[in-house]
Amino acid sequence: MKRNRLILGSLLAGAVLGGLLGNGVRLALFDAHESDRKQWVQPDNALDSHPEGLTLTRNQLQNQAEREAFARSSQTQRWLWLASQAETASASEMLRLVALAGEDTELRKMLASQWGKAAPEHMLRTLVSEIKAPASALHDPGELLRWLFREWGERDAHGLADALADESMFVGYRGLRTSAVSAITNHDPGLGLRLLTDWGIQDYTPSLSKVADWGANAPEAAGTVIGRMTNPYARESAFEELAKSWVKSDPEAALQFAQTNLVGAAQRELSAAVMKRWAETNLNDALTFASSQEDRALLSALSEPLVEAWAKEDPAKALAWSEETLPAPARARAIGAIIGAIAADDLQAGIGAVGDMAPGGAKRQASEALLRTWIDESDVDVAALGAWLGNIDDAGTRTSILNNVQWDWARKHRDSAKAFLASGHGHLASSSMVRRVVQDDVRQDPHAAMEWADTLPETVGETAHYSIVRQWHRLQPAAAQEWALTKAQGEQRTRAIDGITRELAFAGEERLRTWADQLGADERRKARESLDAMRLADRYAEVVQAVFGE
Amino acid sequence: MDDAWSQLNAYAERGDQGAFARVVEAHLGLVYSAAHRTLGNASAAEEVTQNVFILLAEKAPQLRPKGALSVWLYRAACLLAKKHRHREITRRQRESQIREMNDAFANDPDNDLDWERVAPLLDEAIDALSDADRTAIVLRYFQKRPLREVGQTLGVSEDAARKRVARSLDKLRQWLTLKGVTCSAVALGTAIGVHSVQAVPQTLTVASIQSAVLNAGMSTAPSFITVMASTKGLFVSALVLGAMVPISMSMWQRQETDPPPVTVSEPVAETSTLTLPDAAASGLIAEWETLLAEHGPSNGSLASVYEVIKGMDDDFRRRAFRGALITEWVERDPSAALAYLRAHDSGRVTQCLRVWLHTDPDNAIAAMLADGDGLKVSVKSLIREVAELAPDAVPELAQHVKNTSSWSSPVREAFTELSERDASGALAKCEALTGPQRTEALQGIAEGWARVNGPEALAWAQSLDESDDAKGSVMRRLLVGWAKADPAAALDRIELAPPGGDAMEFANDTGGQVLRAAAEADFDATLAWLGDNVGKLGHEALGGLSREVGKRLKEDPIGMLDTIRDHPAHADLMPALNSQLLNEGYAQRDAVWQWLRGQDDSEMVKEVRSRLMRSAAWKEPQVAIAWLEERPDLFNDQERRQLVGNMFNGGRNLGLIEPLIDEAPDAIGQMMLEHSYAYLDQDRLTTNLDTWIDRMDRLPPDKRPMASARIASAMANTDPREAIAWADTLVEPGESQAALTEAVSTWADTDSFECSQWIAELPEGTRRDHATSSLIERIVSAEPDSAWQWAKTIAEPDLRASALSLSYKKMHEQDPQLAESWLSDSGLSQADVTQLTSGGN
Repeated sequence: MKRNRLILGSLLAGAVLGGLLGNGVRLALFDAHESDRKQWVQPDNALDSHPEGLTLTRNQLQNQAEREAFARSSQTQRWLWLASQAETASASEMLRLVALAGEDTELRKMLASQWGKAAPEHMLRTLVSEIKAPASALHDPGELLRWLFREWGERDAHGLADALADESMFVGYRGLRTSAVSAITNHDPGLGLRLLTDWGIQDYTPSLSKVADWGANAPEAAGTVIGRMTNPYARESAFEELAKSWVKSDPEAALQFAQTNLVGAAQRELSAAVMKRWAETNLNDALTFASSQEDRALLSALSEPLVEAWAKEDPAKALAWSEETLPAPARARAIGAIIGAIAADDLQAGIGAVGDMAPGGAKRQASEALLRTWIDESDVDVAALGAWLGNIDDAGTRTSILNNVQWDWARKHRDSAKAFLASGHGHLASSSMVRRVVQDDVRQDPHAAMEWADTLPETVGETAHYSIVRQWHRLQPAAAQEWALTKAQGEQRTRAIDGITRELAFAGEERLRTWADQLGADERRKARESLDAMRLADRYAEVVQAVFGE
Repeated sequence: MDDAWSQLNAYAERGDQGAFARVVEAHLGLVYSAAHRTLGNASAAEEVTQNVFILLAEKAPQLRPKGALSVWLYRAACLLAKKHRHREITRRQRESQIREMNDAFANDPDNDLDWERVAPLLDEAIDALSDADRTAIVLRYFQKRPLREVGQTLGVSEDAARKRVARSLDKLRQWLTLKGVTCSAVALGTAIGVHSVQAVPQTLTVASIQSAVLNAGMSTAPSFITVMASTKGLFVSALVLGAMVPISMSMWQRQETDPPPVTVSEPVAETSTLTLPDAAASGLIAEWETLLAEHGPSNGSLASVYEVIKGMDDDFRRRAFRGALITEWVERDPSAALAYLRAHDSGRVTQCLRVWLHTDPDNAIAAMLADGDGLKVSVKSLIREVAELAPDAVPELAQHVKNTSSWSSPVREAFTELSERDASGALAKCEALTGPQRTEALQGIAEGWARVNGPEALAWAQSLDESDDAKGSVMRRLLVGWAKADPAAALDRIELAPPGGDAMEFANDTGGQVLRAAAEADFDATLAWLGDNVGKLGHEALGGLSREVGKRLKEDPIGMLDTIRDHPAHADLMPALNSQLLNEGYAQRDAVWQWLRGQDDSEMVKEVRSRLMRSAAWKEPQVAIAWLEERPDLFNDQERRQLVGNMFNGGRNLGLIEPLIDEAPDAIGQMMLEHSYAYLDQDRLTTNLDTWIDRMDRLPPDKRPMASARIASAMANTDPREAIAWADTLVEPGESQAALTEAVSTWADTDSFECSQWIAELPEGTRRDHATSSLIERIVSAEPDSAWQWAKTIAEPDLRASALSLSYKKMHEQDPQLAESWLSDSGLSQADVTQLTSGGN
């Protein structure tokens, strides 16, 4: 009996002990697996507790065994496995699947379309959260977001717009809203362009390819929405698209709408866009309409695009009509456009036509149009061009037209612009033209740029040297300073030191002091005077004071 | 239940040695063959075989019937053989051996399948399969079971079992291809069937196995119980037995979910490859299988499957099936897949080539090169992967890559990849290239080489015989690559490359690119270098730090700001911080503002505050206003005005700011109000003019003339006469005058003729004189003679003299002779003429 009790007691004791041990063994065996698995299975209500979306760490995202299995699997297996997982996955599991897809664009797109369809808001907030994170667990969350916008915009543009209404989500990331507007405009241009205005997006013009179709169905509604836009470039482009369809149906109604419903620049832009399109497609009707207008302000707005199209067919008649019909400022612009059209066809004829004109606003406009056409020639006769510029008696006209044209000239036709500066007429160019021309040379080889500047006529050369030094200093300050202090001589040195000093006005006390300490007494004094002349803001003026003293 | 499991249970429960012997007999060949394949050595295979059955005996009580016992034995054989092998042969020797065999094979095109090459890899390949696939292969090929029995074991139909076997074979083929062994699935299946079972040596028998098991201490259960039959033994055994129950239960529970563990040092992967759900569990898989089944299994039917998929409306399903089909098709017949896609869905061609590239690089590349320009479009997207998979093909492909930018050059990136592994090899590959591709290749070589050995790469770059432009760009990329390995070394040599870059791009010059790379590689080292080299980098280059600063602002904005503040060259870190505060870093605005509030007013702090406020003024003016109100002591008058100006953004934000004017605190609101009139014009008018007229009451007297002028100008664009009429209603002469002047100016801009007609009808007096003066200012450039005539009609002496002078000077620029004749015909006194020609007043 005692023995049996002993055996029974041993059994029970063993069971208890074993239970404890067994649990410990079980946990030890299970933990590595279970806890790992639990970490990436997030509850579906996670979004509620993290309204800004989920941000999961790398460790939480992937089961190591799963990732290795994924890597070992065939491509077909990966596709089918991911798709079957995505088919039934909860929103919170989608992040893990996308992470597994790595950098495979097509796999990511497939998953993104499912995620975006099933839980677009969750996807939006998750991806925005990932973009804002210091290091995202996903490859290129911005690309995923763009795909979401594209598909969501197509499926439910208004829903997408509503989801993005909360501006606070995009502080520092306004570009994301711009992406969304772009996607929305592609499917619902009316909504997209309204959002462009409502969200204050001033620096972007979305694709406007759908505006013409929209305008064909609801031209006045389109005109109203576009007229409200505060982004002038986007507005003007949108009106041009609207004009494509509106002119087909009823150009007179379009012009009437502009007069009665729009004001200011919007009115002018729609009127000009409609007239341009009308004149290009049916010149006679457009001309008849314009000629019948008694409202001189309207006539002024319509004239330039009309005569531009007319001049391509019959410049003489266009010229005669402009001189007879148009009020003075509009007349000048119209004549300028006509001469531009003549010159585009025959440069010499254009030169002749301008030469025959009486001094005044019209000649100024025509001269500018001629110059623009001339610099676009593939082989510019710089000497002839310079001579023509030099022969313009009215210095104001010469300065004005060069100022208006020089940016394009220096940017698009650098070789001819450089040749012009080096010619006997280079002194006619403004300092900003010189600055633009030397910009690229400095980047390629500052020393070569300086050598080229040495070949220029005196006044142009001075401007060029000064501009080169300043731009060089922005790129290679030590090298520029060394050149100024060791290579430049006389006036060149003085100007170089002045240019560098002005560059360092905003560079902080240490840099300015280091520079100033290298200058002689007289040069320090001149540097101080130069800085004082800049009328710097207080915090920069204080630095100058600290470096140079009283 | 598999019969083998029954036998094993009999052994485990009753110590039935005969049952165990039958298990050994049934599986001896399978186990030995698996071991022999891995080890290639009979004696080693014998040893491993014995160990497998010893292990089986040891684990018998714990194992639960799941799948086929043969699969368990097969896996155990592979793993133990692997362990044995690892002890004997190093991994490199083995790879070298395989590589040599592959090279030999590559030179022997007649070799359809070399079993000697496949054998060492086969078991690893099988191990990489899913459980179901592995079971299918083992049962079908190693145990030569009919498909019906395979299906029974797997729990599927015979037909499904056939498909499972075919798919598993194909997966094996793909796996082997990745390891450099190419063959067809059919050849592989035949070879496995022929070679899978190795002849067992005569020394290895069932009896010898049993003897080994016994010698290993795995006595039968009854012997164990006999020994422990004494009282003491009863006590101990009861204790142990009692403990074993729950422990065993725990182990049993674990066995329910996990495959049988094998006591080897390497962990067994839970899942070797992904396990696809079956059709019953997944509608998508069911649909996939139906699609394939309906159109037939042949390669030719895949085109019709593709057409069906193309027509699917659901984006997700369409993409899923299309992707899976493309990979499947490429695995079966890549040329046909490519030909079809080129003809019917050219947008998928690159995707197809990418899959092909990863399964059969040589033929994929040949396809890219052999066909027309259409395929060469894909080259740009794929050349980086080619560099990884088939480096020798890079030069020929690179020649077809066009239109790249300084930011993104696939050729450069491909050569970077090549040169990081083998610079001299990359150089050799570059020799044949010409034109821009050559330059990009050299850039890539420089970058990759410098990352591995900066000084060596530098010596090479400096000796290059290329154009200056090319050398400059090569040196730039060299420094970028060097910066990734040794930031300071690269930064010290910034001036070896020309500045380059594009003024329209941010931090795009040499300094910016190198600094960006350096900061990404080692931010602290880069900061240290900047501290030791104050002023060495230009303003543009310093923007290269922006990305890393932005990252740290996200992680720890206070920490980053403290770092910048305390840095010896904090001014050099400001361009990056400023860039961030204008862009993504603005998201940390609240943290930055809080930090600013606790700082002393140093140069750096003032700069940060100014930048933050400016950014807020542009992006969130209401936030800027709130901050101004919170700490007015931090901003002087000049700064407030500047901020208000920033808010309006040159007038473009007038419509956005206008609603805030009335809600803003007094001091700021007043500044905003005054600014708003300065920007008011017809183009920016968004509110009824009456509102602007009413607001004039809030302006100080000295600002009201300006305001009235702006309103009149806006009115005159639509109706100049109405504008003039309104100007006449203004009580204060200064306001009325300003409004009239501006209305006339605007009118003259749009229609000088009408305007002049109206002026002509005015009675003589001050009003007419001022109107005339405004008209003259507008028309003098275009019509100086008209301006001269009008000027003569002005009665007020000073205004008249000024107008005459202006007209004269304008005409003198255009026609001096005519201008002089005006003077002589004007009837003016000499004193007036002198005054006029010298300035007018």
